[in-house]
Amino acid sequence: MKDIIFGIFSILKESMAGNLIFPMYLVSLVYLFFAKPEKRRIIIGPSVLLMLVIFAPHLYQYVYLKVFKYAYWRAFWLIPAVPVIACAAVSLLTDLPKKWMKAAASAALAVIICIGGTNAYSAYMTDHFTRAANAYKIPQAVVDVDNALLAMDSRPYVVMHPDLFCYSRVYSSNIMQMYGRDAYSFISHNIDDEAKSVFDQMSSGNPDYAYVADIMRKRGYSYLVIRQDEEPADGVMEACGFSFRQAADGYLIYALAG
Amino acid sequence: MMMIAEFILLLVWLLILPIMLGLMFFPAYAAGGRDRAGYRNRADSRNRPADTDSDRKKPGISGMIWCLLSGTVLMWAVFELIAVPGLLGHMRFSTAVGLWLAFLAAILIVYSLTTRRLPLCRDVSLRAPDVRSFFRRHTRGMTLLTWILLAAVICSVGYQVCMYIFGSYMDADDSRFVAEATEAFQQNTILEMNPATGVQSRDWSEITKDMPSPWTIWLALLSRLSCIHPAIFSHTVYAPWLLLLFYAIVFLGGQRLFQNDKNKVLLFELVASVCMMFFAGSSRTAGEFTLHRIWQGKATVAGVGIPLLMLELLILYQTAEVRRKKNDTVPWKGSFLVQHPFRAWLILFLTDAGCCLMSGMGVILAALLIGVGGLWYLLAYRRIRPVLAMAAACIPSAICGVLSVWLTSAGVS
Repeated sequence: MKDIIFGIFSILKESMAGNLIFPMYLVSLVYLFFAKPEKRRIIIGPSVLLMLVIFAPHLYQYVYLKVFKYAYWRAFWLIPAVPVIACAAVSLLTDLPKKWMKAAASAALAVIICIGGTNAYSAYMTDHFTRAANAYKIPQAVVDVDNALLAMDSRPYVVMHPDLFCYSRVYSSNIMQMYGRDAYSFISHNIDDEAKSVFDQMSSGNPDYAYVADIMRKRGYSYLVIRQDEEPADGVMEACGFSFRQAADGYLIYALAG
Repeated sequence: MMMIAEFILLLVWLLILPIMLGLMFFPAYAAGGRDRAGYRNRADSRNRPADTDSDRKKPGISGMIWCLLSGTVLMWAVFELIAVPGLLGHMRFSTAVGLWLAFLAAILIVYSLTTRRLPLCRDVSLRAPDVRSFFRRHTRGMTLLTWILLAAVICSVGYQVCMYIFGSYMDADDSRFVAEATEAFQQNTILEMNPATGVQSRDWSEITKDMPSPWTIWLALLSRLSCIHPAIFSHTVYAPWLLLLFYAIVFLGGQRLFQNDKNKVLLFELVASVCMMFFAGSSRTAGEFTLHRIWQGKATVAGVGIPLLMLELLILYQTAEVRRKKNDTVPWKGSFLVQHPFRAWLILFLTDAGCCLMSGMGVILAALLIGVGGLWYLLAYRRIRPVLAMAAACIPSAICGVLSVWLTSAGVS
C-alpha cells in the first residue's frame, strides 16, 4: 500500500515538474474553507472528494492502471486547481480592508504565481514552439517537399526523411509513406521488419542506399527524400538506381528507376 | 475575396449556427412566440426590477455565451451520434456532413414549428443606436478599476490567443490527428487509411481509440464547411477559438461565484488566465495542453470539456442550495438554469456526449467527473432524483466505453 501511494505521488510530482500550482491549490482550499463557509458545499467539498477519488490507492491499483494505462496523470486534469486558486485570490483581495493591502497582496500573488509556476511560453517549454513559418503551422520544408513531390506524381510513394515524415501527410493525404510515425510504433504498433530496417538505415547517418533501393523497388516506392547535408559522395545514388529530381528547402528528392 | 468568404463561413459555423441552436435552450432570448410566464426573466440577484419588457428578453453577454456553449455541445453531440455509426459502416465523409446538416436543420425546423419561436435573437440589431445602448447597458456602473481589470484580461487572454495565431507548436501527435482530418477532407473517407503511411487499411491499433471519438473528423467537417485546409483550420483558426471558449466558461464561472460583481468576475478571469499561463513545467499539465495544443481531442477535453462540466456541476449544486435554503439568501436564485434544472441537466448530457466525441480520455474523465459530482450531491444534499439524472447524463460515456472495449477485443473490420 505504501508503495502504491508513493507511486501515485511520484507520478504527481513528475507531472507537475516543479510547478507549485498544486500546493497553491491546496492552500487555496484551506483558505476558502475557513474564510468562505458558503462555498464549502459547492467548491471545497467536491474538490476534496475528487482528490480522494483520484488519489485513492485501491482505485489506482485495480481501476486506473487498467483504464488509463500509461496515462493516469491525465486524471489530474480533473483537479480544479486554476478556478480554486482564482476564487481564493479574488476572495482574499476583495476582503482586505485597505487599498494598500489589496495592492500589496495583488503584487505578492503575482510574484508567487510567476515564480512558483512555469511559464508555458518560456524558452524551456518551447523547443516545439516557434514563430509560424506558414498558416499550416508545419515546417516549411514539408510544404515545399510535398508540393514538389505532388508536382511529379499525383500520388507519390515516398521514403521520407525522418525530419519530415510526421508532418508530410498532415499537409497532403496523397503522399504515401513507407512508415511515417509507424517507425516509432505510434500508430499501428507492428511495423513490419522490412520497413523498420529501411527506417533504421535512413536514421543511421550513413545509409546503405543499395539496400534501401532494393526494398523500395520490391514495395513499389518511387521517391526518396534526404537532407542536403547528408548527400553521399558523387555517383553513389546513381549507382543504386536513384536519379536526382529536385532540391526543396534543404532536402533532395530522388526518383528510383525501375 | 476568398479570405472574406472563408471568414463569413467561419462566422456561420462557429458563431451563428451554435447561437441559433443554443437559443432553443434559452427561449426567453428567441424572437417570436408568445411569452409564457415560465420563461420570463425573474428579478436578478440584487432584486432590481427589470427596466422594460424588452430589456428582460434581450440577451446580454452571458446569455449569448450560454447560447453559444449549449449550441456548440449540441453540434458535438449530434455529430457523435452520426459519425460513430457512420464510420463503423464505412460511410463517406460527405454523407456524414450532409446527415449532420440535415439533422440540425430538422431540429431547428421542428423547434420553430412546435414553439412558434424563431431561432434568432430577439431584438438584436446592429444599428448604431442599438449598439450604443448595448454598450451603455453593459458598462453601467463600471469604475476606473473595472476598466483596468478589463484591459488586463484582454491583454492576458489576447496574448495567449495571439500565440496560437502567430506561433507554431510542432507536435508529432498531429501525424495522426490532423492527418486523419486531412484524409477526410481530401479523400472523402473516414479513418480508412493508416495516417502514417496512407495504406488503405483499418488494421492499425490506435484506430480503436479514434472510432468512438472521431474528433479529427469533426475538425475535417468544419474545415470542409469553411473551405479551409484542416491543418490551417486546426492550428490557426479553431485553436484560438477553443481557447476563447475556455475563457468564456471561466467568465461564466466567475459570474456564478461572485454574483455578477464586475470587478470580482474580471479579477477571477485575470487570475485564472495568469495561472493557466504559468501552469506548465511538464508536457502533462492541463495548462500545457490548453495553451499549446488545444485542437487535439484530448487537449480539448482538458481545456473545454472538463471546465464546462465543472461549470454545469456548479449550477446543479447552486440549484440544490436554492432548494436547501428556505429564505431568499441565495444570490443566484433568479438564474435561468437554476430555475430550469432540466435544461441544465440536458446541457450536462450533451456535454458528456461532446467529451466522448473529443477523445477516449473524454469518455473516461467526463464519466468520472460527473460520477464524483453526483456522489458529492448525494452526500451533501441527500436527494436521489438529481443524482439519478446525473447518472443518466453519463449514458454517452457508457455507450462509448462499451464500444471501445468491444472494438479493442473484437478487432476492427
